[in-house]
Amino acid sequence: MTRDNTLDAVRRARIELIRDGRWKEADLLAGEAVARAVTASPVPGPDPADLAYVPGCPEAGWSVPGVLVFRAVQAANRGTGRTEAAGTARHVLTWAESLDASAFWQAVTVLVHADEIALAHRHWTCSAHRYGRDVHDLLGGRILVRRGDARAAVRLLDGALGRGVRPRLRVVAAAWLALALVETGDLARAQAVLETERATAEHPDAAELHFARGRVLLAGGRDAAALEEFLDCGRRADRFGVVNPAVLPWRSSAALAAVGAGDLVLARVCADKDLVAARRWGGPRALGLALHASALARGGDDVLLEEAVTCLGRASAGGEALRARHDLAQLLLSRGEVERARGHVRCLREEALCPQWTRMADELAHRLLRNDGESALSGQQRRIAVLARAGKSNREIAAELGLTSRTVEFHLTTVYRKMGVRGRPGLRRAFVPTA
Amino acid sequence: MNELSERRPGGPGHECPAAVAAGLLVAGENWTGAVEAAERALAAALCRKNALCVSRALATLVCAGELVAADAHSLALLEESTGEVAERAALARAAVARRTGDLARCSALLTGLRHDGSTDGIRPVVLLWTVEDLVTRGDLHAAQALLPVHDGGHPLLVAAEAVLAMASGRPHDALTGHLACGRALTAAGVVNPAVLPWRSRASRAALACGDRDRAARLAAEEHAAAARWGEPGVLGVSLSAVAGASPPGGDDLAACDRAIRLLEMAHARVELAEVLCDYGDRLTAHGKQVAAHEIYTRARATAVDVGATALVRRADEAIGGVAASRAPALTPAEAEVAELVRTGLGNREIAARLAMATRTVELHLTRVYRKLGLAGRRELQVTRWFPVRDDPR
Repeated sequence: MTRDNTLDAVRRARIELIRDGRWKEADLLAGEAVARAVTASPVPGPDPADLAYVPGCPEAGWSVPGVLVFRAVQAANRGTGRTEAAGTARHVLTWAESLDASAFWQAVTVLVHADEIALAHRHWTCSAHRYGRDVHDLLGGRILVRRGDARAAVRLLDGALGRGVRPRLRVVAAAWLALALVETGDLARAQAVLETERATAEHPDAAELHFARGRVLLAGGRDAAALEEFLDCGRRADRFGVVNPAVLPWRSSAALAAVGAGDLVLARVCADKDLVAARRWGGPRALGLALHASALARGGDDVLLEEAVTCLGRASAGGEALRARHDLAQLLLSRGEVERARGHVRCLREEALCPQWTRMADELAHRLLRNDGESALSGQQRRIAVLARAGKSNREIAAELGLTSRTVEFHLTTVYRKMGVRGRPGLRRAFVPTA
Repeated sequence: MNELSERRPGGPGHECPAAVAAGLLVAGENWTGAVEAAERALAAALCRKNALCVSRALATLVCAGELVAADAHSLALLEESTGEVAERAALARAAVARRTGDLARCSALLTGLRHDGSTDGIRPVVLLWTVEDLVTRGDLHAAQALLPVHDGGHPLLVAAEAVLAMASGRPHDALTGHLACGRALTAAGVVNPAVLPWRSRASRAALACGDRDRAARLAAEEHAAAARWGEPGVLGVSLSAVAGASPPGGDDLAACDRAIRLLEMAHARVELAEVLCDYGDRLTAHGKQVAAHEIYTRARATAVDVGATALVRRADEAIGGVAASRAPALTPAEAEVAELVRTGLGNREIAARLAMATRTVELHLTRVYRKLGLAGRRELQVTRWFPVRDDPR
């Protein structure tokens, strides 16, 4: 049997083990294959992305640090042992001389997943272009988004795509650029970037692409379509045995989309699963995202949202923290807690990083002005508002609740006035608590 | 299941996390709390050595659908321990295999547990799962041979009898059995359908008896309880029961669709194959032969994958039924237009992009709707069963 055949057998056996619910054995199998690849020279060994989920791994090839860091990658995918995984990655990065691009990429990725952004940033700055300009720009884009500087990330990723990256990195480059563009509020360009990128279903980074598509759709208010993309992302992540929301927070995002689409049960299933997994891993960003999703899936829970804002602030997770604070302000506003809402709107205006968030903060401030504190919705009004927000027509709402269309219209007018929004489009951007 | 509801304290001390986990599991209202308590128990040295604690913690993880964690813990326990603890770990491995549809491995593990003289505590559950396994593989005789002639009255054995009765075309016996099992579980305080989805099963049996009202009531109750717990697998099963009991008319399709999505999330391949078959039947009844064909093909592939002989047979027959009336496939131009509609573009935008007249776009669309049996644009946008073209995106 040639070398390639054995590798292919391992790759397939791993996928089958995962499909049959034998995740641990799949990890052990991959670990052994990697160890074998190092002891057997000459080196062109297995592509790490064949044996674990490593978004956009630049090249195949194994070295001793590569084997060590692979274990950290496996831990990050599984979502257990964050401290050890980050420790291993940090340790490996100190061997700068003997590192290849693949090991460097994996180590920095693990640090990002472990929310060690400052450390990742330091190593990234030191490495300069040693591992190739494209590797530098892509990892930089990833790190800068997480530091809350989405515009710098866009510059790096855009430049890299313009100059051309190695084929293996194209898909992640496009996906990450789209995510950064969403953070800067430039949805049209994000959409354009993704449209030109057509990865096959078998591409190892297809999950990243689905995730980015989902975020673009979610930001554009197309919740049902976004939900499908996130579930597609999840199917691919599951195939690779990725459990950790710090690697791909698709469940938290799916929960937000499901809330928008009016499926609170699915939202809670997704959000709770991420919440438990995020606590297991212990990184503040994934925890904050899961708390945010959980709060909305419960129809609006201000305690969970406050906690989410704190976690995301600690992880310096830029736009994600703003989004949680924005939803918290909306929740308080629609409950009639004007004073608390005002405090958060003030924070939002101070922290706003780009025109998108300044505009949303202004919109909230405008609602605050029009709001006299008599804004709490009645039960019937809430039910109608939720259905209208999920895209149902007046006639459909009337049929579902056993009312006349006229009554629905009447209630909706009151809802718009109480919430201080202008019609249905305004309602779509507002948050309607159901609890 | 005895061990879940027993009042006897698990490990030493009052605050045994495994007992807490089991308590939260049977009550079925605090998913995150139950999972976290189970993981605390499996991290505690004292609980790891106690068979009852291990049993409770692993059962909680499995019933919560936290299969990755259950897999890792049970493998580690199997390696480090012997005797009853190892036996419970093997049982949990069988449960994970059963949930993910690895029927061959599940049956091998169960056989091992039966032959190595399993302890009284787990014998009923081993027997129930073995019977379910055999029924899924279509071997009713072997299942019958396993069940004791005199009814022991244990709720899990009653459930096993009922499963066999349903597969043998005796829905009245099945209904009586599932209801009796449910009464016993409820009396023991086990109200979480994730432990045993007896209402969903009873609902199917009631439907087969022709009692649609009762079936609908049972399914609705199960769905409410499953939603309180929030594990996608049992939620999907309950939704498929809801779909089965609701009259054909549109809502049933939506319920099937949601059930499929949830079962995919839960990795529950056996249940998925079954719901796909149901969905295909519904689509056929609605006159959507093309979509039904897609679904049956998927159902068949999934059933073959897990070795569910009875379902493969059912899908094969159904495929033969709809293949005859299958509409022609879409032309490349039609498929392109349809895909752009699905991304949310308007006819004029599509015309501009594909450099054709708006009128041509409309014509293509009319043919797409006719061929796929769709009512219009909205249905085209929401249907998940759009035939994928060869060049994948």
